[in-house]
Amino acid sequence: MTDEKLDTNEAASGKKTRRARRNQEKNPAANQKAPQAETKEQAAQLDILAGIAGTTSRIVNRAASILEEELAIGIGATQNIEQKFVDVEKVRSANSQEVIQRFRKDTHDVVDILIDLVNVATNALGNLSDRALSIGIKQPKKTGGKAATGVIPSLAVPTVVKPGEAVEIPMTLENESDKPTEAFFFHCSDLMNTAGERIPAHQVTFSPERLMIEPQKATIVTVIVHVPENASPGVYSGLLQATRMDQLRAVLTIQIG
Amino acid sequence: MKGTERSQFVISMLDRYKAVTMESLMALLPDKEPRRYLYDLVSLYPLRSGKGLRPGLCIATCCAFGGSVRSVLQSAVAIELFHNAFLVHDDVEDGSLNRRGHPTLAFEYGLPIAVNVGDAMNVLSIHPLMENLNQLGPTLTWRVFTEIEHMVHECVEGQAMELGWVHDNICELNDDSYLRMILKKTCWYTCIHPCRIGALVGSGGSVDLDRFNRFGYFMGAAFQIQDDLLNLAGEEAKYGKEIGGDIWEGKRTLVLIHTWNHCNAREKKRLQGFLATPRIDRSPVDVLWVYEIMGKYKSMEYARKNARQLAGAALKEYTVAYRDLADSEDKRFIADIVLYMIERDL
Repeated sequence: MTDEKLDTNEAASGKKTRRARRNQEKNPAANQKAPQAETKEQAAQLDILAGIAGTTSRIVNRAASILEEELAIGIGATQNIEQKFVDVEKVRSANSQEVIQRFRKDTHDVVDILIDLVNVATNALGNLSDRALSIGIKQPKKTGGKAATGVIPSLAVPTVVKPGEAVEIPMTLENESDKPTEAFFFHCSDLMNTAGERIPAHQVTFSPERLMIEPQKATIVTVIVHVPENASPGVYSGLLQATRMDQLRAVLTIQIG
Repeated sequence: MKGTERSQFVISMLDRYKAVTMESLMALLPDKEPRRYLYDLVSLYPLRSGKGLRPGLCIATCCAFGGSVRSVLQSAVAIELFHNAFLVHDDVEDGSLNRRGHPTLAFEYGLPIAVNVGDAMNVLSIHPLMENLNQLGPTLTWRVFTEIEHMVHECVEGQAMELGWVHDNICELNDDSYLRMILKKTCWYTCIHPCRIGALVGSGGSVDLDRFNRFGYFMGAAFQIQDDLLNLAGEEAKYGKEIGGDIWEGKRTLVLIHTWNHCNAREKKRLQGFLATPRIDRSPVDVLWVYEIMGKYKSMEYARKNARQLAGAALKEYTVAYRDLADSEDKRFIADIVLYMIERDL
């Protein structure tokens, strides 16, 4: 007689089933009440049962075995699927936002990657606790020295600056190439607001003024804006441009209140 | 409680669960075009009087575990809609003529429309599961969804097993083959998952749902064998399907499998020939002959005895699955519906 048959025989004779024992192990509180007839009526029902299934039937034994087999197959398959797609325990214990995030991640990896990029950009520009901007310096292209095109990075001062104050904005520069850069420094154009009012270029300085970056290394240059006493409120922008490197430039924006 | 009182109690509780399910289900159906060949037809099967066993088990189990009808209603509606979608497609697959006392959708409107209506019902079943999010929150909604996903998966696999046997005219089957097929085709979605989902919602996810597997399987198997017997012996007006429809369709029921494994070589040859014949070419004489050899080998009695034993085992498992719960009408309904099945004149 197999374990399953023994198990089911026990069930029919009113003893604890293996599943019941398993459940009780999982839930110690259940140990206090074993599954048994609770009322006279239920006892009477079990008498009826005894008449019907007094001798454990072959079909019940077989059904119990088949169920266990199918559960084993199903559990294996489900585990494979769950491992592939979803961390079920995390999903089950997570809050609403995490569940949605998880579902999105499992089904739309590409979207997530895009979102991550946006987040990085947002963090770099919006959460300027260190007010840093990273600008990569890549391998020089062999295209005849044509000026690089594309989106120009933005360097925005997150706080409102008052006239007469100075503000410092660290900017990280990274040399991604395998050659050192030549020595270079930055120019800045006049900063201008929508009314055409200007902050002269000489009000913007750099520290250090002159720099050179080793291959695969990064350095920080600090942009310092000295806001004149007579500057009108408004948002001012200007272009930072490195000497010798067309691709190394950024738009500087500052709000004066 | 006497058998008649029990029957009345079970029937009244089923009616109560069914009424609340149907109200919610009907409110879900779109009131828009295209009506004539879609939305008017979507409600046909649910409106024909079924017992409402599945939503009944789901709601009763939820309430027995301390939950409310409202909390599990959307899940019960989804299960009932999936069930009716299965029936529409089942009638197409089997070429059945009658369902619940009326012509099948496929017979009355043709295969393309019937298939599309079944598809629509499957799609409509998704909405109440989405509605669960407002009521149950994301974690329970997700868990109900995974239960439903497994339920539907098992059902189509079980259906494929049975259709494959008919398609390839597989005759060498035994009780194990049958038990496995009905576990997948019927029991998961008729009994096991309705109970699991009910307990999941009612307990807020704190109950080990595996405690319902044996209970639901034994009960569902008894229910399916009973269904097969009613198809052979029931009154058409009461049962609502063609008498002997399963013989006409060549369905591998426990009765037929028992007959096959007991008949002599000459009978086996004729039976195999009958089963290899397309349904449309089968003759009433041959159908009657199959019915007679089933009687000759007492195959109906064999199936009846097994149905009772499975129902008895289900009742025993009930004391495990529903242990430690306060007495309630809903809990009593669960036990009584098993006894009701045992006591019914099969």
